[in-house]
Amino acid sequence: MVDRLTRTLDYLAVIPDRVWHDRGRNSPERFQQVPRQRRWLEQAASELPIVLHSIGMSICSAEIFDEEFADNLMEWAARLHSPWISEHLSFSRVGTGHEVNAAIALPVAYDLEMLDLLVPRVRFLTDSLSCPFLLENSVYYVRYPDQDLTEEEFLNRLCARSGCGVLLDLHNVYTNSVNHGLTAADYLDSLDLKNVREIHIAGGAPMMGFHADSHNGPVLEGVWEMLEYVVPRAKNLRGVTFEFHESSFGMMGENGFREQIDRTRAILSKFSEMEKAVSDVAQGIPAGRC
Amino acid sequence: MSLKGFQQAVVDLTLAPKAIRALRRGESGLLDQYELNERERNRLLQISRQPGIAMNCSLARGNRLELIVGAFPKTCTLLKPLLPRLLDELWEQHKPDNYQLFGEEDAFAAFIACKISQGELSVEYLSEIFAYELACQDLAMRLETSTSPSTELEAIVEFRHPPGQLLPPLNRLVAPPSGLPSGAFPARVRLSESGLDVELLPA
Repeated sequence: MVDRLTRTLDYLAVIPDRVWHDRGRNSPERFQQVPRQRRWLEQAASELPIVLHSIGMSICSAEIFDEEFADNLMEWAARLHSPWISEHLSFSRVGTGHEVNAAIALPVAYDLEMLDLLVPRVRFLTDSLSCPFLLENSVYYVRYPDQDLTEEEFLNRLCARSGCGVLLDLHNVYTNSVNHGLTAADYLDSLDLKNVREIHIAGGAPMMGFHADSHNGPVLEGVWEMLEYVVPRAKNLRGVTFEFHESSFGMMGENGFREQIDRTRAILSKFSEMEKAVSDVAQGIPAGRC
Repeated sequence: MSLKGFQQAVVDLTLAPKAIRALRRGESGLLDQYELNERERNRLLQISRQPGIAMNCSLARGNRLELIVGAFPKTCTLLKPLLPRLLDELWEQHKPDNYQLFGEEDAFAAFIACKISQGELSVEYLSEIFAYELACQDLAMRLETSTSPSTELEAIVEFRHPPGQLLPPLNRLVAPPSGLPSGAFPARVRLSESGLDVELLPA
C-alpha cells in the first residue's frame, strides 16, 4: 500500500534519523546506515523528491549543538537532492558528557536568550545547506509563564535574523488552541506567513483530558479550515504534508489516505487557480483565459 | 548559563513522575541541585502544578514502552498486570541516553532476564516466551543490518510447552490457557523479508 500511495504523491517527507544507527557523539563511524531503510529510501528518491524531517538534532538544547549530526543530515540532503529539510523548534537532549534524552520533544520558553542561542546555529545550517532549512512550530502541553515573546513573534524574529523558513504544523496550532484556550486565527494572523514553506496537517485524539498530537486518523475539520485560510496567504508555500503515525494504515486504509491527499490537492488547486485569475486580471488578461 | 540547569530539570521531571509529585507536595528543595535563576525556578514550580506535565510524562513513557512492546509483545502480554510496577523500577535506574532511544529494549531484556534468574517473576510460560522473543529480536537486528535483501536467518528455541498452543493466542496479545502439557518442544525460527516462520522439530 505504501508503495502504491507513494506513486501518487508529489514528494515524500521522511524522518531521516531512521536510516541510521547513531552510536553517539565523538564515536568513530558514528552514523551506521541501516541497509534495508537506505535501500527503500534511495529507491523512493529515484521516483520522487524526498524532504527530510529530522527529529534528533535537538537544536534548542542549551548545552548541545551537534555539528556531526548536522553534517550527517546535510550529507543526506545532498545525496537525496532534498528540496528542503526541517527540524523541530524544541529540545530533548541534555548533558555534555553522558547525554540524557527526554524521550519526547520538549518546547522551549520563547525568551530572547533562546533566540540569541538559536540564531547562529540556524544561520550555520542555512549557510551550509544547498536547500532551505525550516523549523517547525511546537506542540506543548505545559505553558511556561513569563515568556519574553509569543511563539509567533519568536518565529518571525528567528526567520528574519537567521534566514530559515517555517514548517507550519497546523495540527500543532490546533492542539495548542484546544488545550490552552487560544485562538488559532490570532496565531495565524500574528505569524509572518511569507516564511512558511511547508505545512503539516494531521489528526489527533483525546488523551488524559487533552487533545493529543498523536497523528492517528484523518485530518480534523478544524485543521482543514486553517489550511484553507493559510494557503492563499502563504506566498512561498512549497508543499503540504499529511503527517501520520504507522497505526493509521490499519485505521484509514488506502482510500482514507487518498481522501486526505485529494482534499489537500483540491484546496491547493482552488487557490492556485484563484491566484492565477487575480494575476491574469492584474496583467490585463481576462481571467480564465489559460 | 542557567538555561542548561533549567533544561536538565525539565528533562528530569519528564522522566520522573515521582519528582513532580514531590514538587506538588511542596518539596521545592528538589530544585536546589540545578543552577537556576528566579524566573526558571518559578517556571518549574508552576509547570509541575499544570496537568500538562503529567501528559509529557505519559508521552515519554509511551514512546519508551512502544519500543519495548514492539520487541517483546508476548512477554509484555504475559507480564501485563505486573508491567507498570516493573517499568517504574526499571526506569528509575535507566534513563534514555540517545534520541533514537536505542538500548530501551536491551535494558528491558536485561532487567527481565535478571528478574527471571533471581526467581522474582513466577509467571507461567514467561521464561520460554521471553527466550523466544529474544531470539526473534536477535534475528530481526541481524536482518535489518544485512546487506543482502534475500537473507534468511534462523535460530533454535527450546519450548517447554507446545508452541502451537502457546503462540497463536499470544499473537493476538492474549495469554494462553493455563496448564498446557509440558515437555521438550524444540523449534526452528526462521526470519526473512517475507516474514517469520516457526517449525517444530523432533524432540
